[in-house]
Amino acid sequence: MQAKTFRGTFKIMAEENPTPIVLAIDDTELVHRLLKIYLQGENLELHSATSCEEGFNKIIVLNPDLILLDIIMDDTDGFEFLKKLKQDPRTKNISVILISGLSESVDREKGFDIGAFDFIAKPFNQLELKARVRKALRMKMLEHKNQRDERTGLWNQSYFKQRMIQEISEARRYSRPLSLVVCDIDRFKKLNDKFGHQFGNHVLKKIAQTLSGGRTSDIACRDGGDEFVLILPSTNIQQGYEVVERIRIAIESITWPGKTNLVVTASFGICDIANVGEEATPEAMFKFADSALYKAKQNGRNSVQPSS
Amino acid sequence: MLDQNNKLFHTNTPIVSSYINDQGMESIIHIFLDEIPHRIADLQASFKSSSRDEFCKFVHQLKGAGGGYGFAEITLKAAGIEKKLRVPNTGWKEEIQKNMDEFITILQRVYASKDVSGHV
Repeated sequence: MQAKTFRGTFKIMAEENPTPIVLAIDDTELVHRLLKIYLQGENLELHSATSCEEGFNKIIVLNPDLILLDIIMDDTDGFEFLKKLKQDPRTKNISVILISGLSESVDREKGFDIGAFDFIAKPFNQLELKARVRKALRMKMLEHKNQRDERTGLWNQSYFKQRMIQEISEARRYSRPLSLVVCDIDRFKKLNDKFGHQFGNHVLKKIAQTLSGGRTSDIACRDGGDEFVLILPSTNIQQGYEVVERIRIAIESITWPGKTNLVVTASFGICDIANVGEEATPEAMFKFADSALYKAKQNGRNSVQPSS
Repeated sequence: MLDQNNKLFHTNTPIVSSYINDQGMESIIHIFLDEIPHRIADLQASFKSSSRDEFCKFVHQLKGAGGGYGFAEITLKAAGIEKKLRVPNTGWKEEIQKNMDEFITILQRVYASKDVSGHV
């Protein structure tokens, strides 16, 4: 459970725990033993699951950086499982290396088409396995570095735009709801002026932590300054309102060491894809949520305003 | 039908793991060898009871893992059997009987490597 608390609640602190998590899903104990020996000494934490069901539960708890997935298993076809992972907002960005006795190029092609990062044929060679795992983890690290906001550790604006395009496309494709939240810290400039930039940065980090500490499927990003955005996949505006209201209360309840009476609050605007309709783009959804935020500010701040 | 008491266990030339000198692999090769009689029994039982899916599963597992433990012969033979099993055929048992016997012999020769001096 420690892993869940750490990674699920605040994955952005991954920099403090640089050991990547790798989950191997294979129904053969023989293979798990080999992987354990082959990957010994690598800078990673190896977990194992012997079925897709167990694997999926572990993925949700551990939020691994890489999955090594067997294709032919007793309970599920690995390709089907990969499809499931790539369709689920909580798991679709996890790199997957397929490990299989199927070595026909058509199988490789199928795996890559579904979204596999790489393919290793069984029986695998230790050097090849290590090299491919290192490559996948290196790519993940680079991606992480380029898409993170340095101050808060949240996803940055460039990632937000790219992710919104993906989420809008999937929401349309699978007729799923999608909500977007824009958040602004109330009177942040005054806080900065009164307590200094160092404290201001501390506030930004604490609020970032609170925003990313909710559901694992939600994507918290820093848009710049004291403004944040939160993408809520598969969430309509009513459900989103409840999620954000909990966050608003959590922010209001943060205690600030040495500043007993200080209450920092934030205002939120939320819209869902249905508000924007057929013309939904990241910019259009942002505009709707931002207008709602403006209303929240006008109505006295520290509130969540749904877009109408 | 062959079983682990068959003298072939001791009379065939042992097949030694290509990782014989890899100390890091010692412990798991040892476990792999210890499990061979059990795997032979699984293969024979599923073959005897015509449980094609079950038999396929055991063959597939050995195909995937054998080479990884330094026993390429297991992978090669299992791959041949698996290829034949992929073709829908009601007479699959007759079709692969010879391969099955050869496969069991290979597994027995692998098992016999337990006695090889210097092996795990």
